[in-house]
Amino acid sequence: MKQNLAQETVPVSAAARRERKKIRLREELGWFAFILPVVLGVIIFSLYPMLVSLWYSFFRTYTGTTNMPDFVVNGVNNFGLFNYRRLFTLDSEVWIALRVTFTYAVVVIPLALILSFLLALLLNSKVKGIGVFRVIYYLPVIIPTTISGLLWADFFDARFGLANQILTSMGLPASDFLTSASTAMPTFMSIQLWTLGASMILWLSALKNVPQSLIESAKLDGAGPVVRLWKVIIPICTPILFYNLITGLIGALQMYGPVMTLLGQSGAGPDNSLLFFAYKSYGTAFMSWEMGYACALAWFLFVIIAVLTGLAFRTNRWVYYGDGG
Amino acid sequence: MKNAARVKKHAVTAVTYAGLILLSLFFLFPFLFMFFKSVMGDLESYGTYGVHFFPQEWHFENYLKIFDADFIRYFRNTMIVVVCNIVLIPLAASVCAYGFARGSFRGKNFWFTVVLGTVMLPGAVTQVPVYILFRMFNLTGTLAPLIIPGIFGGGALNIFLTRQFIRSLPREMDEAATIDGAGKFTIFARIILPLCKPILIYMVINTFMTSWRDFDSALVYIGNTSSSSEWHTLALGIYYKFMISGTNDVYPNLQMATGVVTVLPVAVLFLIFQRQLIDGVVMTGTKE
Repeated sequence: MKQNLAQETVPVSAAARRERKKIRLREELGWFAFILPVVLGVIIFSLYPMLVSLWYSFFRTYTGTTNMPDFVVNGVNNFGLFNYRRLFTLDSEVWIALRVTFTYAVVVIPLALILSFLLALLLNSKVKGIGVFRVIYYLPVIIPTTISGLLWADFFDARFGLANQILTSMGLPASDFLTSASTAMPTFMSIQLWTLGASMILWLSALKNVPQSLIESAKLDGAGPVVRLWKVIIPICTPILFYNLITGLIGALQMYGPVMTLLGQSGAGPDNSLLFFAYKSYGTAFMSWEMGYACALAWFLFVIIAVLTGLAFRTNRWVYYGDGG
Repeated sequence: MKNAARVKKHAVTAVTYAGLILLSLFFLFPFLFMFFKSVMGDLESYGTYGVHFFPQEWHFENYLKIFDADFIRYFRNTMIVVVCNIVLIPLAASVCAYGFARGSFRGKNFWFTVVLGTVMLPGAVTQVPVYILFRMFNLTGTLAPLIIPGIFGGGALNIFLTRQFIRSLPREMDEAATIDGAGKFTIFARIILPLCKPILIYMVINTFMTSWRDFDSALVYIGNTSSSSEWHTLALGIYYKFMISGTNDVYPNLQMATGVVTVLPVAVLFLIFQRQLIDGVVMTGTKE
């Protein structure tokens, strides 16, 4: 910009200036062509559907895969706040789904943060062959959703599963695991233990970025290992903490694949004990084909996510962003 | 004194290793469980004679039984999606990333922010209209919805990573080529793209793994109708065949053998490229 100003001070004819403007425009369009795919992509697959789903959410729609919510199919009378009334006052499953989702989030996110941090601390120790352990701990993260569901459904099968075999062989009572409302959620939560590697890797990189000099000077000031952890290491790792918090929350609010593949036919678990909000919204759209209501559910979810992430960003003064800020 | 310190140090190392190895067993457990069950006999895997972790008899021939017509069809479909995506996504992402890294045009920062912002958009909000859009073109129930979005930029995070990478490349070569009269696209194709090899490799491997594993979008866009089952991918086909079909007549050993075969390609790729993949995860995670 400053360069341009300097050039403008040299007197030039109007024609030359127009010519330069044209070249400049061609230059800009040439660059824009490179990002055109993603601009179109954002419009077609994000911005347009986002607005359209808000529009659809005001239509009452009926079962049937050929229905597309609009005035022609639905008639003007079927435009209104039906879906929102249903969501807030009639459909008790919405509140069950919110409770299930937030119970999961409130327990699993902090627990996973702490446990993966402990794993990272262990992996940060300087012993030979540590790289092998890092790979092993991360490995379960790569198991495809379907296979993970297949595998844990078999392991936690109440009648023929190995899990109950292990419990009874240790003299403990057998559990119903996924087949009873009180044990389904704890079972589902414990399966997430195997994917701790994902956030562990992030913690590990944060730990590696803690300047050694800072730790040394803390040591010289007489800070023990616990004080060093609380006053030096954890504050520097707060951006990762924040990132894990946000992605954990968004992940919980979008959970449907893992529950469906684990539970098979009944994607909601016994007595809706594993009825995640995202599954409710998926099922409404693609099992009962109530597209309008599904969009209302999705927008409700979207507003919740937006408010929560907004709150997280507004209260993130505890996050350390380097010396600059 | 010195001796005591050394003993203490050795003790700490020993305890560390003990902990590391115990946890390894925990994290390897799903793989061991799946593998041992996959080589059991039919009834043993079902638990008829009691539930075992180690197989009593080893039936490696189970691995020959799983390659039926269904599996071959799932595999073919998965490979179509994977091959298209590992070519299209890195290419599309690097074209867009080049524009963002080296271009100067109005609205560049605006669009870059918008692109990155889409990462925060929950899938549920766009799912229904995108589904209806694909249905208008008669593409639901086919593999197309799993491939087409990749053409449009290859994903925000891939663009972000590649842009960072291109920005770290020296500009001298582009400038020299410009003086020699090379256009933007020539510079991109001849100079930038070859230098992007490390990040391209990362994107190819990462795309392979995500396309191979994808369940969520296959479920939505392909679904389970009489015509769409022709296009089931591995992740989707296994779900419908083993978990939804009412008869459930496939023994657990064959289910697990299918699982092992499905995990194997991603596990091998991960083991070979683990450094690049983990670095990529870390880079996207610490982008702030």
